[in-house]
Amino acid sequence: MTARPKKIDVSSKIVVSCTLIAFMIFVILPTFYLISYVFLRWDEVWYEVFANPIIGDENWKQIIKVLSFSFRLSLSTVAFDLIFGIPLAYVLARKKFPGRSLLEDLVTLPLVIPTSGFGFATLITWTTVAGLGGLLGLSSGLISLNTLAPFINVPFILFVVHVALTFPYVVRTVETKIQSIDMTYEIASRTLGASSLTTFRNILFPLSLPGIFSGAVLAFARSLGETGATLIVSGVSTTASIAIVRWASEFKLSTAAFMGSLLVLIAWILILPAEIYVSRSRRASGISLHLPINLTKKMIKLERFISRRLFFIKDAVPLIIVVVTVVIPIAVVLNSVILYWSADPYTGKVEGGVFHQLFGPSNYFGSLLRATLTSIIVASVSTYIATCIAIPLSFIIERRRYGRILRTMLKVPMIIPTSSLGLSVLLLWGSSGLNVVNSGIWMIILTHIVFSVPVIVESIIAAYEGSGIQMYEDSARTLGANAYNAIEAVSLPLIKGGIITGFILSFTRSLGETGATFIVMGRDVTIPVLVVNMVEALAIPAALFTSTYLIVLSLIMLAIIRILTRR
Amino acid sequence: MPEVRLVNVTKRYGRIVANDHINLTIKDKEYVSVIGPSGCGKTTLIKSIAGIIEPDEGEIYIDGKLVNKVPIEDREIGYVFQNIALFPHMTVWDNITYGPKVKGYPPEETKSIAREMIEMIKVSARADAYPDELSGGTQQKTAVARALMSRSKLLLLDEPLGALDLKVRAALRYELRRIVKDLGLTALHVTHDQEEAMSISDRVVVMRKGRIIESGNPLELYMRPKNLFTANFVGEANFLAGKIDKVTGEGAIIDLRGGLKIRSRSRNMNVGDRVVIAFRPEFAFLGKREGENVLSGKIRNIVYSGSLIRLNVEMPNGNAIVIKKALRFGESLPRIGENVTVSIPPENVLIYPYPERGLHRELSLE
Amino acid sequence: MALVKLVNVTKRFGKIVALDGINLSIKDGEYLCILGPTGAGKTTLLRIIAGLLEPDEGEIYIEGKRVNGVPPEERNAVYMFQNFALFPHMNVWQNVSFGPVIKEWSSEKIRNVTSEILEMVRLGERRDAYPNELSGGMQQRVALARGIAAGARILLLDEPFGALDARLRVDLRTQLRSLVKDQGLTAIHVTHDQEEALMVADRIAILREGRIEQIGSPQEVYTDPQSIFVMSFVGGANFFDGVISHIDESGSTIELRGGLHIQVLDTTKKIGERVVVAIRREDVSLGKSRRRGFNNLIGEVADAMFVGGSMEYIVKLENGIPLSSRILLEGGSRIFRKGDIVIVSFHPKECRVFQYPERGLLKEIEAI
Repeated sequence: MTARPKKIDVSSKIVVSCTLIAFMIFVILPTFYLISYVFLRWDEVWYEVFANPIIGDENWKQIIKVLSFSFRLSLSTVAFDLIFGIPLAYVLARKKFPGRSLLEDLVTLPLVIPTSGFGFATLITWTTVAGLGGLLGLSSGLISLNTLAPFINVPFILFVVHVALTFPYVVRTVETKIQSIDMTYEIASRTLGASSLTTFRNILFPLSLPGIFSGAVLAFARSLGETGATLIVSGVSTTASIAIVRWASEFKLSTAAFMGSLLVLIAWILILPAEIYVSRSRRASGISLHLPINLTKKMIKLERFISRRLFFIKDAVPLIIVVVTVVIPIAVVLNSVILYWSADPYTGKVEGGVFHQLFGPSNYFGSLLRATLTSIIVASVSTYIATCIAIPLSFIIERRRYGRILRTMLKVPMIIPTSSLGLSVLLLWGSSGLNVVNSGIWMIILTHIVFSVPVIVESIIAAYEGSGIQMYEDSARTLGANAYNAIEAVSLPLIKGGIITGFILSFTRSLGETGATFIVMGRDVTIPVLVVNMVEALAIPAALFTSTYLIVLSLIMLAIIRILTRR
Repeated sequence: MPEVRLVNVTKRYGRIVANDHINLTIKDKEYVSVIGPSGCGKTTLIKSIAGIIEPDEGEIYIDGKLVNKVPIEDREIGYVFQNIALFPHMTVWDNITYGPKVKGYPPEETKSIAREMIEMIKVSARADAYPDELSGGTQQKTAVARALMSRSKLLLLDEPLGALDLKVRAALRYELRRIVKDLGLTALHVTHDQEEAMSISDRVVVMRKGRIIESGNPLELYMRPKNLFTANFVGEANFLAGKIDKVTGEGAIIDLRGGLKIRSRSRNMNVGDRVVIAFRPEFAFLGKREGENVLSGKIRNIVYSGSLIRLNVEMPNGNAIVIKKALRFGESLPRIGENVTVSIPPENVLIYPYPERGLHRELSLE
Repeated sequence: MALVKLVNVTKRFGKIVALDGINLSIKDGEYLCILGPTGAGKTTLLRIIAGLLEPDEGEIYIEGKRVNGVPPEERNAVYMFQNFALFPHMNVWQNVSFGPVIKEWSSEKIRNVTSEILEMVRLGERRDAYPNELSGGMQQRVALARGIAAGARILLLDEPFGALDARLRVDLRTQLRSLVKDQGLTAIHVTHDQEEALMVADRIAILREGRIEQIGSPQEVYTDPQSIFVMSFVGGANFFDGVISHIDESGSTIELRGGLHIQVLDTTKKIGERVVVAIRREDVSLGKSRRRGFNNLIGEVADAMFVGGSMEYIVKLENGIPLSSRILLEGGSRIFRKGDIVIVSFHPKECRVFQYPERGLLKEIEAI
């Protein structure tokens, strides 16, 4: 028996170091560069934001105003998500019924759907006659862009879009958490005489608090950072992430950077304690409010009644929400494309028809083709590079003690505002920074790598932890396989599903990403950005077609994932 | 009045019939165990009684009432789980008082009943301890206390000792019986460990592939199993194939391989029937004994197992049997290779029809 | 020469000392069982031998060479998990031939070895099946075949029957031992089932809280337990708390609670010393009359149970202490019932005397 061959030891060290370095450079650095930019150029920032010779601290006031609006929007979004998302998560986690996987896919849809296309779909559904308005016989849209939602004072349509886009974060996270809780506890509770609702309150809810908390934080951060769809539906209001886009395009880089850093810091401040709480709390506090016995008795009776008679409500309402916010806009868009194909059905003008806009003088079809090419190149290259980083990174996270820290760091790129991200990449790699790349396709690729890596890593880790890989690897090692053989012959095949799912998820996200791309694109246009341009140019039918095109593409991708993971 | 009655209970999962027209009655205050290999349907059965699973056909009566459509929380049973299922986010006290609390019982009464229960079951844990601080045995005792707090008269135990160490299992099973008998409960206990079931039950029910194949008190089941499978499942046995040679007033004479003959007291066979005879290894004795079957053979192997030894004896006709005996201090034993005489009392020789599927398949425990 | 040797092996996990100065020597071809309660450190020990874990102190030698730091693939010791760890994405043939394939043998050699071994475990016809299509017993055979095909000399078995039904275990354990012996392998078999260890082991090492309490053949460990824990864990016994009241050349008298006296042959203790007397249940007989030369105590049968071919009685003695007896039913023996007044008898030479343990008696016998 010889001593361990130096070769293998050394090459595993090389792989680990390369992966970590790549991770740092491609993913972490851009995420945090923004903050260091602000510090490095503090004088500039101070000057522009607080002590501007022309407008004083007007920019700072703007920042505050925009931030408080965003907070109001995001907090109300999350509250709504929790109220209706938790019951849905419960249903998905615990009940088997025909159409369950379809429902799960519907819930996942907003995660991969191109945000600008979706924003557009929601826009026409609610505010134009082509949508709900027409369905109900009105001569115009159901509401206008600026109608406020009751109680919260934010535009209704903005609220709807944010709910739709953040709902999956709450539902999926809570669903996963509930699935990980042994169902025997609930059965035990029921054999002891508790109705389903009482069981939920006493057992399932406390035990799933970490998941609820985690989901809420993710949803909040996602809403804060939502750019693509917001660009289309915001009307006169400005959210924090849109402000960044606006200021960047006005070359008020310092202000944009400052706002972006604030958002990154907020995301950081939210995630860190949440992660610590989630990992520490092995025992969620037993939320047994010691109510006076009469009240408890009444509550128990009520819960019993609801469990028996009204339980179907908890299934129905979230379902309605999902349908209204996700399914209907998509249906409307698809319907409208057909409706508007040859001519505007209301004015009869051929110029208002999709066909004319695509193939007529404006030749949007040509731009669409070019944009498609760009999008596909960006998605393929960035996803491929991200996968190469993600696979070894996942193994490092699972096996090394510092893996937990890495995993927490990975959460940040997933939730910081995409516009922040874009700005950060622009400043780091572009002419104001290292000047390695110009705005354009390569910078878009660099940007997309940043948010793709976390997505793929999470997917691989889910497969890894579900399959008891460590045990199979140990077995293989004692059978004579060295570390590499073991990984190659045993571990990789077992997590194959996770790798593929992660790849497709991030490919699709990349196809539909708008916010960050907007900032770094230069002259190269991707499909979702094209939608924004079309809307701004008021070429609505063309935007209609492009959104449909994009949405259909994502749906196909999701279907592929479904088929592959079924096997 | 019977506490639990199952009538034609059937449950299917796709093509597999987990419970196949089960008819079972458990009398008031009876301690009944259901045993069988994995997949025999015993877990499905107990879950159906609790309401966790709904049968496809058949009726279940608890205390005379039809409970098929009654939800779990209204069936008034106590259930003990294999994986214990103490609520991890609650203390021992909160776990135990959970039942009365969610039923809205007055807290003062609950407190005193809980204290009584802890005393009675001898739960040795601190009331403010969390489940993960306790040993497996203590956890399960706490779970039993929790299940009994609702004063229900029916206790369902689903492999209650499965998650525990062997030594703890051996000790805790007697505790279970003591608690059930002291409180005058009716108990249904499901387990794959036949020794566990045999040692504490009033009656044992044997299941295989969804059906009840035999039921009786432990002694009956052990001494006079009606079924070849039961004979193999509930203890060790020697099985030899043969044919009925003669049937006299005293019993049947069976022709084994190579002309070896053996006598039994059973008479309900016909001459020429193909059969399998069975006898337990502790009912085969070294030496010649009057009035018994006397065979000769050579010692092939001796295995010591604490205070028991098992002798593997090969007979001239090729059959091999095992003799089990207690080691008596100072007793001299034959050595490997020695020739010995073996006596088997005819009343301990059981006869079964030769199984269609072959002996090996019939005896298979999987 | 010892095939596997552990010298002063210690392993800590934070503040917990999982293994504390373990010294162990295992001969080539030996079937060693490591027996102990959960948490004793058995799995840790096995993983250290396999190379899946490194000790904090001490050395491990395999085939004479020091293997600290040597990776598992070079130790020739196959680890078999409790749930077999058959690769789910490979069928039986691929699982079994995994070792040879990794070692890059010629395809002909791989084919021959794999077929041969599959025939040996009687699974030749299931070579295309996947693990989830096989029963527990079959999966175990595949796992064994896989280890043997890999050319291992040492089999490390971690509770190999833990995942199987009680009745199945009894059948399979003898098959396992035969297979191991036929192949001339060395087995280190970890279990908490003392009956299993007694039946299959050449030698048993009893592990408790990271230390080896006793090591010896099954008979040695059973008939000559060196501590209360070993006697209680392997075979079980009745333990009585008492004080030495009289000593002469023929033996000692021990006074129990309530004035009962027991005669033992041990003469090593001092008068007045607090001791524990232990007598195995199988050595206690019940009858209606006194037996000459035996200790005879009167009691009432509190419980009579029929367990696996034996009658187990709990008899309450005059001083209130329960005594447990387990007698193999051998045709014609009398069966007593609850409430019967009986005389329990046991011979002085079957009594073992131990010093009263510091931690108290209950702790030592690990009652629940």
